[in-house]
Amino acid sequence: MANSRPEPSQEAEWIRRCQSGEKEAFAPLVDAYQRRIFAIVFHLVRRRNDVEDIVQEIFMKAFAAIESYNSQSSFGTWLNRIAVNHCYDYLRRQRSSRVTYFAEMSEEGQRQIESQSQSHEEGGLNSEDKLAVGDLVWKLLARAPAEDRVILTLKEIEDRSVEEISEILGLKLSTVKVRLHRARKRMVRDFEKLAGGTVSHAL
Amino acid sequence: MRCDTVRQMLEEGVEISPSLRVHLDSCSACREYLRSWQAVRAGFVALGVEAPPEPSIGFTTRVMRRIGSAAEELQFGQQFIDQIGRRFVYATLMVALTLLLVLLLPSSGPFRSSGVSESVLVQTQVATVSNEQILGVDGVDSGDSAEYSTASGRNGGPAMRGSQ
Repeated sequence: MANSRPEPSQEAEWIRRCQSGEKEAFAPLVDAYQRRIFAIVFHLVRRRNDVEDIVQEIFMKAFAAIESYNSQSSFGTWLNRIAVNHCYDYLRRQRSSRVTYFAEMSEEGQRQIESQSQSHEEGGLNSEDKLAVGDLVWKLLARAPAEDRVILTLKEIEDRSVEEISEILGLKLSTVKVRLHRARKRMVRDFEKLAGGTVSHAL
Repeated sequence: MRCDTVRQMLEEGVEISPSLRVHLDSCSACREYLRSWQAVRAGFVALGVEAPPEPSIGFTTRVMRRIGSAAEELQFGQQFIDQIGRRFVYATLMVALTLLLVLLLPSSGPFRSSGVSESVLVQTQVATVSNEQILGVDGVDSGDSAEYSTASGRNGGPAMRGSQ
């Protein structure tokens, strides 16, 4: 399991060999990028048991599409794009089969989350409280539209720049900024609904 | 400064300038938004701290095996189309063409002779005439029909008209 970034010339050679049908040349690329893809998939999907299967599917998709890779972006970015699109589809499938956004939830569901959030409201935020807020934010993120979840994860959890996000998602910079602001506003609104501002005051 | 612009700046973590400070001092909604955003941000940071799972031993080998079996399946699919699938397509086309010809051919013509339909007509006419004779339309029954009417007449059947 190497996982260190390969030399660009070496990487280009592996890609060229894959494109000419030599599938063994794909193995070092899997070795080099698997950790990065594991991280991005975990942050987006957050289901430890599913991550490995999803990453396998992503690498299979990448191999099937490698002929279309034309070096316009780095191989890493290209692979990230495949990973994000795959996770996006996965999240949409998950979303369609579950209760979703807080605003769309039943009253009982809302009360359940509220009781979890209120148990962490009192007092200042120590490390445990921060974990609780993390849990709460995760619950909100899990119920957010897949589009919001992807863009927020890339920016706030993966800490990627707006430029990188625009390259991965294939969107204009201005579009990324607008969507990011909209998604953040929605998160804040739902957070306030849940915590009633008490958690934020404690900060 | 508009509230939305201020909030966008706060989300991006820009340094609070004097003009931004003036707005925040006078706008309680934006102050509340800043507090909530900081809490959400803290939640994101907490989520980012959690380490993602490590690939298990032999991950690359398993990926390569799946890629290999997928390639074999693809090859098999192509062979199937080449060997069996194409023949199946030709056979289906032939059947479809035959059905189309059957539907499009005229009801008379060299393939369906008019003699056949005429002989059928003649037979139908003969059958009609003999039925009329049997029922005695012209008032004179044939021998067989007389027997039939007599027999029916005894039973009070429909041939009473003939005995009158």
